[in-house]
Amino acid sequence: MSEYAIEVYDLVKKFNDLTAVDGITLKISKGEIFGLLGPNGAGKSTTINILLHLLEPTSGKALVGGYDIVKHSREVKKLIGLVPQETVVEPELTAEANLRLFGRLYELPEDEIERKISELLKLAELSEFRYKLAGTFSGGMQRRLAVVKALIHDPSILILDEPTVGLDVQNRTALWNLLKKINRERGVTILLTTQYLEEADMLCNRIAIIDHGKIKALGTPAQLKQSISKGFIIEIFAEQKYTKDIIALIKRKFRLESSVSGDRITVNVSEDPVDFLGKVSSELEKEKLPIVSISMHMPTLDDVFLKITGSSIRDTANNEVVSPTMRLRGR
Amino acid sequence: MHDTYALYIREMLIFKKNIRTSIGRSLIFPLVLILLLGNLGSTIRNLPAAVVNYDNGVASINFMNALESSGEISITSITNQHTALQMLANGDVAFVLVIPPGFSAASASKPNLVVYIDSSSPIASASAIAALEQTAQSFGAKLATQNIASRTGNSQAQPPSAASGALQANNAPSFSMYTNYTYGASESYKDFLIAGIVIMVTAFGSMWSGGISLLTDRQFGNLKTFLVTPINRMSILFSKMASGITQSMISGFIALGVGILDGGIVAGGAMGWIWIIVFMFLSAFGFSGIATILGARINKIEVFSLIGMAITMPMWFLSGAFLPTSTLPNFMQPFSIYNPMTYAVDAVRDVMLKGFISAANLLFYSTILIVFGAVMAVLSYIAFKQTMG
Repeated sequence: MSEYAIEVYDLVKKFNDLTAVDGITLKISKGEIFGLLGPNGAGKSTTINILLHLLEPTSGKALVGGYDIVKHSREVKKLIGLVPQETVVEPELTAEANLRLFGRLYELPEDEIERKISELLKLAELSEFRYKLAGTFSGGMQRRLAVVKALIHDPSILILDEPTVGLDVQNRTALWNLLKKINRERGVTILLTTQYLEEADMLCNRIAIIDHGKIKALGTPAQLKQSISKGFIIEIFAEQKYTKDIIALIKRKFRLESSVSGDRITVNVSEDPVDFLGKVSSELEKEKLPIVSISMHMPTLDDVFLKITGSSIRDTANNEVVSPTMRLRGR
Repeated sequence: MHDTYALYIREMLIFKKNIRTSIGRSLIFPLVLILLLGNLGSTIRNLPAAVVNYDNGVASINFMNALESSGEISITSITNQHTALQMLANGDVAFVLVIPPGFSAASASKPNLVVYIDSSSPIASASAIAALEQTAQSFGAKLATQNIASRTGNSQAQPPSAASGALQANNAPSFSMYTNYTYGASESYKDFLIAGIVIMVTAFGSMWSGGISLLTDRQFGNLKTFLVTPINRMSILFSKMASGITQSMISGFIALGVGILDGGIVAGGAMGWIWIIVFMFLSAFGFSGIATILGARINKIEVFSLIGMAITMPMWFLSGAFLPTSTLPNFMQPFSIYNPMTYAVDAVRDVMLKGFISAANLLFYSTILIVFGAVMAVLSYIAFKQTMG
């Protein structure tokens, strides 16, 4: 057996002329919680679908538990439990029947299925809802049921595609705790995709930031943040006609490099910034350069994402919503 | 096999959960069609008829009055047979009665009554024949019922000589009437209809249950959760077909039950029931194949419904479920010949109305349906393999 739970080498997936996954290489150790972070359409789900052999890779190679995903897809499937993006429970079946169905599909003996049902419902804190229809459950309960459903055959790897989309804060935290518990107590390696920075930050041991089908950065959340700035980040919003002058001023007065994206200027500050914010704003005032706002914070994954991809993950996610209006205005 | 069973159980549990909707859905069609349409024949009023009276004697007037007094028939007197037949051709009247000269004469041998019937409307012609018979009987005619359809061994095919316009009397001393029925053992349109409805409900039931659930499973992502388990992917297809067939056969039996409660008969007895089940199964099998082909290829439920309707509705009308296929216009006849549903309907109708099915027909019908089912199964296997495999 391999020391890695999942190994991916130079994986490429093309849909006609669209390259969804463009040469991804990564290794996920056993027992890790690994996050694939990226906006919609970055290639996260495609990567996962290839690992599950729902899609054929165009080129490249992937191993799960040492097995080649294409040649030994049956063995690979036994090692993986999947929680898909959609909340997939059978709404018209009871919690118990949901688990029983999958126990049977994994060809477990009936008495073991019985034992696993009790155990997993307890893990998901759904024991009292055993005979209730899954369709009557709240979103959080359905998601928890979907998670334990993926554990019925004791997989060593759990793959979750956007596990907390659409959940409120409370349910999201509960799900994170459940995943941490599964990882800790059962030694299950967890691979999840997410577009929530805080989720990647809170939950994952390591993160790969993926955009346009490529891995742009890989490391622990702390490493990634430190790669941006060991100190603080100053963020200035100003009208675009002034950004050039502001950048010049900061370079002249403080000998600091800034980067700009639209109306946002970010400055990495590594030294002790006592009243640094005040100094910057008074200099700007002296030069009569109007700004909209100025703020300072510890580096976050959003800053990492901004630096790597040139746009905030939120901007990227919003693009899809914004574009129809833009097109309308264009006419 | 094990996987197919597990998935089949899942489908049936979902079916059980929705049993009220499912039963309700499978009840509506037969209830509406059999109860309303099936009983339509008995409630006909004022059926328009043209009478050409060449006799004009007392007896002929009395005959016409008697015919009209039941309230079922409304008579227009026409002096010219040509005009009357023109009206029949235009569909203005349901039949034309010609009373020949000498009808009122008190001779031992009366001349023949001639009746021209519009055979494209079995409901109207059945009630016209009933009214004519009744009246003729009260005038002392001996009725001889001649059943052309069952004699030729094919309940739907031959329109009686009525199509060429005859309700012929023979040369008996007093006048008499022969009645030729278009179909089977009974003149009731209801019995004729039930067989068609049973097959229709069965075939379309499998269309909607298996195909739609394949489509929704893909839409909601359930299919993905099945595909990541180490099952044989084809077991998904098999379970969909099997559950579709089971559910549609349940619907078919409900339809049959409604028909029988409403007075339908299965003339074939115990053996007849077995043949009904066999032919219900064969048509459900073929249509579940069509359903899975569509379900494997179509992503939107609206499109599925549209294409499903576009396929099933014409097949249904052309199968002779409502009207004998012989009443279809000539250009449509080939479509009914190449429609597998026609043969399922024919088979069940033979069993229900005539009470038997000849060995030759049995072989013919079942071969066609088995070939149809096998072709659809292979095509759905290919479609499924292309999109899911």
